[in-house]
Amino acid sequence: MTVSWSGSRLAKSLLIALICLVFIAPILIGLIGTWLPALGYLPGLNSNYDSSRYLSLDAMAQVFAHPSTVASLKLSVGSALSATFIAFVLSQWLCLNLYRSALWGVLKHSIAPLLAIPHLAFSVGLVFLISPSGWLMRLVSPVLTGMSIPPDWLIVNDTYAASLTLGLVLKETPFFLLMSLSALSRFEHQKTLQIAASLGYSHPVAWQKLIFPQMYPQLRLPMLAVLSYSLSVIDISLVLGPNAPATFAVLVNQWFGHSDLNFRYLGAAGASLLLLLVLMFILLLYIIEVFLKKATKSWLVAGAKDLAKEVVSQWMAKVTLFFMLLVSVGCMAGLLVWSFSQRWRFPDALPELYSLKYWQKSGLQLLEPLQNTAIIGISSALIAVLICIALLQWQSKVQLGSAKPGFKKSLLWLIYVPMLVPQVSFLFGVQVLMVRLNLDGQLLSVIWIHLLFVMPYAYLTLAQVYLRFDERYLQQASILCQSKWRAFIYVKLPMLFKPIAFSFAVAFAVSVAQYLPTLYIGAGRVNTITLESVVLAGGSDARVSAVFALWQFILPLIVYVAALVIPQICFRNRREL
Amino acid sequence: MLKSTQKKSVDSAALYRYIAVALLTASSPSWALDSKETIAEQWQKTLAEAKGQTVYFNAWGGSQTINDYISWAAKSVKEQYQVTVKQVKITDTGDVVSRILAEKTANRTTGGSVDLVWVNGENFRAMKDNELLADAYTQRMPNYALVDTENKPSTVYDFTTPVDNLEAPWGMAQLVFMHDTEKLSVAPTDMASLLQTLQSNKGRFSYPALPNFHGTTFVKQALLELVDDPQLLTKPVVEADFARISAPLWVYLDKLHPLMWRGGKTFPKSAQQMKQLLNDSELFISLSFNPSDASNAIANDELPNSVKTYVHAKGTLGNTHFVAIPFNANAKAGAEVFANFLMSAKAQLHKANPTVWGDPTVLAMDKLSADERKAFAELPLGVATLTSEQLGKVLLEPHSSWVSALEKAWIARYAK
Amino acid sequence: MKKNTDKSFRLDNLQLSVDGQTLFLPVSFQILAGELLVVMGPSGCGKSSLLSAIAGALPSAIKMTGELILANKSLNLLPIERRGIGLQYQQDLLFPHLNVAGNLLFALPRGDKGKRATAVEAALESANMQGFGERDVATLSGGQRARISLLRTLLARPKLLLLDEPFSRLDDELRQDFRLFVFAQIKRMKIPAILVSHDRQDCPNKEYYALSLGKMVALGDNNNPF
Repeated sequence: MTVSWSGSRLAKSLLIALICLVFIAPILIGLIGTWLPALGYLPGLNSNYDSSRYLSLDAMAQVFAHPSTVASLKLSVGSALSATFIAFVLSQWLCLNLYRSALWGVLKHSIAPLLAIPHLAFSVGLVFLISPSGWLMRLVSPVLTGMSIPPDWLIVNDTYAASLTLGLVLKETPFFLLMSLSALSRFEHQKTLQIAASLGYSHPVAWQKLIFPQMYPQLRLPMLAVLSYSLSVIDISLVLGPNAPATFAVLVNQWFGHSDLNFRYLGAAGASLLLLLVLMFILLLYIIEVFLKKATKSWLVAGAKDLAKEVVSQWMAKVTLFFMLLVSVGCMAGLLVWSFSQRWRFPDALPELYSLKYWQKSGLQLLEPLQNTAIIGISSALIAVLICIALLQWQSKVQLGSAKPGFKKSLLWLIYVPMLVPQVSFLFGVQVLMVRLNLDGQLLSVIWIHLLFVMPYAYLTLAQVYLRFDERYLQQASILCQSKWRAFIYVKLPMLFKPIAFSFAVAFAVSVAQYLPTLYIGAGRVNTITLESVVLAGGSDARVSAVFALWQFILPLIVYVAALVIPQICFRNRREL
Repeated sequence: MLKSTQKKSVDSAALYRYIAVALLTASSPSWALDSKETIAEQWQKTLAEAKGQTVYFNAWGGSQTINDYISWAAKSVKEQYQVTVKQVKITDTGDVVSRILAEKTANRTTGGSVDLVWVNGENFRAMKDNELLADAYTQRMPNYALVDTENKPSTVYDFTTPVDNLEAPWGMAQLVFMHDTEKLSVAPTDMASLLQTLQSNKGRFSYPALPNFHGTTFVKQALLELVDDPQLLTKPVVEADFARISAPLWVYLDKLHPLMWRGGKTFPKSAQQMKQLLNDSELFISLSFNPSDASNAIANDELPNSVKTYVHAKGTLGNTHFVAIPFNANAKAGAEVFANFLMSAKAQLHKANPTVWGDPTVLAMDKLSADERKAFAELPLGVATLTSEQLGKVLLEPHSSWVSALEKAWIARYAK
Repeated sequence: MKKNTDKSFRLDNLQLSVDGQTLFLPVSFQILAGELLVVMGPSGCGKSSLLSAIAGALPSAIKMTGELILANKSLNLLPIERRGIGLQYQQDLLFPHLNVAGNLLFALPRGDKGKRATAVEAALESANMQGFGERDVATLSGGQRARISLLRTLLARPKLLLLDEPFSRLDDELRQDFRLFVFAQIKRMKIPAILVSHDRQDCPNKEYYALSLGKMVALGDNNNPF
């Protein structure tokens, strides 16, 4: 943070060095550590591979020779692309249609709790809800369906990855909504809409022609992040996805864990292939963007023409939002009921026997994992938010023109790298790095790796608000108290307390949900609630899975609630905050 | 010693010959070498060294029942030997093997992150082949002498890979099926009658997709029942013969899959999930490697008490699961103490209790004291458990090379 | 007058340039304590940049030459918070997370609690706002906010007051009130002050200087059309 103040070159270089070391070094080394085995180099394996195969593309050829690869890639690409596309369009459509409705407030307030639900907990809940023997069927059976045994319907784990896509859409739409709101706050959208209205544009058309093009630059990165995440997600895919074959990320993970250690080569090659896919999609998006910009050039200025059936689509948007909320509440409620049940068979709508046993037992058992999760989450989120503030403070100086841009642009991309690069494509290499440095299995290393993944989200949620801050408050304050530091701490930070707290909560939730990084770097010794949940989410015991999924939800929920409530308590008599 | 005289894999010789060798050697392991120091003296040293150590026990954590048992065992060694055991709950033993491999790649020959790992079969072979295991040690453990190496050949041959004292037997497993008698009163007796049963109960059975351990086991069981000459399976796979020998299996599975859960288009994630599906009545038949699984689950209200265990008439596959110490374990002495405790009569008795876990013991009854024998004899059987007579014949695992061949062929057929 | 010279503010040959283009001719002047210099000119002529230069808040793109001297000390190398200036914009910039008293206390140097409270009370009294200390600033009227903002600036005991169109946001009646309030406060504080404005009304009477585009204009003639 000294950077922003003194503008000292040393401090700036230190910040850059820190960011490179903390964020870029592990990813780069991790990638190399994955590419080497992908190219046939994996010392330590007494394999039948001979050195002539070093630095060859044999492993990649084997990946494509594997019978599951093609089908599995299709599933991954299909589900990731459609989930990203649907969630993105859905979020924009909801924004457009609900912006002027009474539900805008509902939408705004539902984002935080929806984001707090960890992906894994959500998917476990979704299975409890929609599977043929799930809660919905139990509620209507046998009265309405006449069924006393569940039907053999291919709903969950379907071969088209439709339920996986549904799960991803339901989970990513709130994220896009959050990003859209933050993008909206960046410019005078209300005035823009008023001017457009006065020029005879209907609300939806004005939105499409004036608002969306201004929002889009802020949404591009989140979109890529969601795409990369959907392509490489493992835990949700295990619960909701197909398994014969599974999605490509799961397949790669299977190869990394295969009892025949020669599959490590395939795993590494497959992981590298995933990265290639993501890069390809980034390029593809860029091309589509350029094309759309050209194609819509004349449309944007073609003049006003009312063609919207606003009432119908507004009504539909309301129903959709309601449906999304209902499914999420249903998932959580299903988990809750299961967690208190002792015996619950189909087609009973509610458990036959209840028990507190599983909560009681989990409480003792989860003491350490919960503690670890909290420590890792709080430290990584806190460090991330602090680094973000330092960066943003610097950026706002650049914005004001009182500091030179320096490395700004490239630096920002560096922060986003961990969000865009699929986790499996470099974690194997990071694991080797950590082992070499004797850093594996330590809390600090896990915090470090979490920081990598938490940072982009903290930055994404904080940047817009932070950069919109009127710097004259700070100037005024530093003149008044003759200290820039005091002014910063007593004026700027408190005025930005709400968004900072929210960004912290988002970062914390991201940390809690990390599975692979915790597993690979923690060497299993640093146990978190998510590791426990994934181990038990295999579906062995619905009651235990439910309890663990809920625990995984409770921590982020507490932090989200705190992030919303604490600023309100602090500033309860301050209307302007 | 065994290790130096035997080749890494069993080549052309028949399995039985190896078992014979094992019976000769395993019962009196390395006495000659340790003649100067008795086992007891050596063990005292190990105990002293182990005091205060922390053992990271990497064990599959998907079952609450098993996790609870491990906690109990950990508590016992803490009290008795001042060794702290922490269970690292894993989803896949392959991940652990990967981690040890990464450590080997990084030249970490001591201070490894894994002290003890629950392992058998393919993962054991991979660790053995890649020299990821500590030197032979079970012969130094007092309780190893109690293991029934004579009548339980799978304690000496882990899926046909010679154990060579590199892993300590922990428990016995046998493939059993469970059926909900309320929904399906008559249990199938073999693969053919399973197919018949499903014709009138379409969609009510499945098995986990390969390479899942239970899925592979079911396919192996089917193969054993369907091939003309099961003897062929005791030998390594010869690529040229694989298609011919396995042909009846694929014919069978092609008929079975359309009658299975979700039409065989998707599969349960694991045998544990199948238990849940059995409770939900999505399935009428499920499978397990633990003969007491059903009883345990009934006691737990995880399954209704209408569930019963059954096996196929000509026997089902059985094997042994072990614990092994990696080459670079940080707390070797502590791991040995814990592994030794796990083989003790006390620990095995507790484990065999169906209300605790119900995992069959690896110990030989005639090597135990009268009291211990009595305690074992008095163990409750569990409402849904079969007696050892009812459990019938234990079929030996096919040669381990069959696993990867079957897996490959299965994936090429059903997961593309 | 003489005893005040050591508190005066002087500009020597101040010139601002962007990429070698100068914004105005070199400016030199001196303002004595208690005096107000009014800077006028059309928008874009560099009025605000002049103020920023004096405050030490110039964007890095603008280069400055010349000397700034306040109370016989050069300001040139001092950061903004060490220059001892007070700065007022048209926005009051009251801190929304602090109440009225909190805003005022923020400007007071650390010290005896009772004394600081008394100073706040006295300040509120001088603005006829006794008892407003615990109020949320969001509940104040525009005029009240403006007064609190100026009081806050003055409580920090600036040695030079810079006012950047501080009246332009207020409506006509309030503006005259506040203007008189400001002038009275400057007199009371006996510090030099500079006012940037484009409203002729802000030039109260002939005692005040005016500056237009780098050219010092005759003293005290309110009718001078520049």
